[in-house]
Amino acid sequence: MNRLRRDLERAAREREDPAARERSLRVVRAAYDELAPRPRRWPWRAFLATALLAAVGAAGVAAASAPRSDVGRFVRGVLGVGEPRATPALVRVPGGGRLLVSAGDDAWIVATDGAKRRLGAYTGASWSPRGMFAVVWRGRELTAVDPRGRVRWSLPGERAVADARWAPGDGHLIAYRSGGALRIVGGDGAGDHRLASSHRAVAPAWRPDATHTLAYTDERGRVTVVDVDAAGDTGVRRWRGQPLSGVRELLWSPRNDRLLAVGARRLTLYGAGGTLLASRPLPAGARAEHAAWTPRGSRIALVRSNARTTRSEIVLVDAADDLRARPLFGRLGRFGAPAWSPDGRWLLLPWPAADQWLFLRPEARARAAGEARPTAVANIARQFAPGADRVAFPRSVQWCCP
Amino acid sequence: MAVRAEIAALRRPLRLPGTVADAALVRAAQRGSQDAVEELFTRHWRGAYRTALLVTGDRAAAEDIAQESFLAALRALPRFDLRRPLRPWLHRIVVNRAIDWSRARAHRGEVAADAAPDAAAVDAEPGAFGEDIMAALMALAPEQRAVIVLRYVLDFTPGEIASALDLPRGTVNSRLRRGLDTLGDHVQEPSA
Repeated sequence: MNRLRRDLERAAREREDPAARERSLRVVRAAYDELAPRPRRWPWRAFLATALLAAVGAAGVAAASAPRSDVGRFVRGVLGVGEPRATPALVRVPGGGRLLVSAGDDAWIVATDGAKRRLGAYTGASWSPRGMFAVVWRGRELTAVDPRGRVRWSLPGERAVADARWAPGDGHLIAYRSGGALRIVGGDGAGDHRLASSHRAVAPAWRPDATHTLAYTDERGRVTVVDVDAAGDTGVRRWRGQPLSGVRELLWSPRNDRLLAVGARRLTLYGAGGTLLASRPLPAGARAEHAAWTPRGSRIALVRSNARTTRSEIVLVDAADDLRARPLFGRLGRFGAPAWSPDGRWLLLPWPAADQWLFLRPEARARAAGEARPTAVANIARQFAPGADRVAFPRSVQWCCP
Repeated sequence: MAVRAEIAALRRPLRLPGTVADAALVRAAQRGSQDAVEELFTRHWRGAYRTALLVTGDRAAAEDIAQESFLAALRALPRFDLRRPLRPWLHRIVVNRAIDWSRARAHRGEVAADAAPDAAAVDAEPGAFGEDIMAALMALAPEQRAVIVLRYVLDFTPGEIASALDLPRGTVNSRLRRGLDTLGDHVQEPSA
C-alpha cells in the first residue's frame, strides 16, 4: 500500500497548478472580508478619519463629475470593463431569496448563502410559483424537478421546447413554446395540449392572479390574451391588439391591471381588458433589450442599449406617468435581463462584457444624488462552469422566494 | 470600553504556532480573525486540492471544487460546531462535490460512459510520472475513486470514510477491495 500512497501523491503533485493556491487564497480572503463579523461600533479615531476622508473625497467627486468630465468613467469602461472592487465570488445573495440560473448547458440554483447546486443539463429553467419546483427543458423534453434536481416528471415532445412558464397562484398549469405552437400542460405533467400558434421569439406571460389568463403574441405579432380554463383546449380569447413590430417580451404588472409589450423601439402598455393606455417610442438610437416590473407594480426596470455608443443603461419607467424613464445606471457593453429581489429592494443586473452581476438598490439611488452604486460580483461565468475549458455567461436568472 | 477592548483584540495580529488546534483557529475566525482563516486555508488547501484533482482528474475542476469548498466552509463558519473536527468535515464537502462533478461530466457526454477518461493525458505534461496510475484511477467509478483517495491520500480510516460519504462501513470496505483489485500493479511493492 505504501507504493500506492507514493504513486498517488506523486501523480497529484506533478499535476498541480502551482498558481491555483494563490488564486484561491485571494478569493477566500475577499469572501471572508465580505462575510466576517464586524464590530458594531466604530472606534472614534476611525470615525473621524473616515469623516475627513469623505469630506475630501466629496470635493474630488464633485470636480470629477462636472458636465463634460466623463474621462474617469470612460477610462474605466474601456481599459477595464467592470466595476472596481467587485467580490470575486458570489458568497451571498443580497436581499435574500434564491436564484435559478441557466448557464451554458446547465441549470443551477443559488441559495441565499451563495451555495450553488447544479440541477442538471438543461438549456432553460423557470420557477414554480412558490419555488418548490422548477420547470426545465432541453431539446424536445420538458421536465419538472425539485430544488435538489430530482426529476418529478418528464414530457417528451415533437419539437424543440422553449420559454416554459409556470402559472402563478395554484401552479396547476404550465405554458411553453414548442416549435411555432404554444402548448399547455398540467403542473403534474398531465393533459399536454396545443393552445395556439405563437410568435417564435416571445415567451408567454401568465397574469399574476390565479385566473389562468395568459398573454402571448401570435404569429402576426398581435398581443393576445386568453382565458385558458374556458371552452376546452383552445381557451377563450379575451382580447387581441393590433400587430406590433419587434415585440421581445410581454410582462403583466404584479397588480394584474396592466400588460406591457416591450418592443425593440417602442413600449406599449395595455389595460387588463385590452385598452391601449400608453405607447411610447424609445429615444433615437436606443433599443429595448429587457424589462421587469418592480414587485410592487408601479415601475418597470428597462434595459436599453445604443449600438452607436455601444453603451447600455437601465432606466426606471413610471407606468403611471406616460412611461417616462429615469436613468438608474449605465455602462459600456450589453446588459442581460434584470431580476428583482422578492422584496423589491434589490435589482440584479447581469453584465456579460464584464463577467459581473451587479446588485443595485434603486430606492437608495432615489435618496442619494448621482448614479446608483452597485454591489458587484465578478467571475460569474466561471462559477457556473467549474472545471470547464469553455465558460459561458448565464443566459437568464430568475429570483425567487426565500 | 469593553467594545474598544474587543476591537483592539480583533486587530492584534494573531500568533499562530504550529500547535494551535483547528478548533482554536475556527473560533478565532468566527470572531473575525483573517489570520486564522489564512492559517486554516494553508493547512487544508493542499489536501483539498489534491483530493479533488485525483477524484476528477481535471486540474481546473479541482481548483474550482477546492475553492468552492472553502467558500462553503466560510459560509458555515458562524454555526460550525467546535466539538467536531474540521478536516473530515471539509473533505466531505470536497469529495462530494468532486463526485458530483464527475457524474455530471459523464452525464453531459464529455467522456464516453464506458471509456476511461483521458484526463491523465490532458492534465499532465507529456511523459509525466503517473500516467498509468491516473489512467487506472480514472477507470474506477467516481465513488470508488473517492474511497481510494480518502483512504490512501488523506489516510482516513474506513469508519471515517463511511461517515464522510454516508455509506455503511461494509460498502466502504467492498469499494476499497474492488478499487485495489483494479489498481492491480500499483498496490504491489516492486521487487528488488
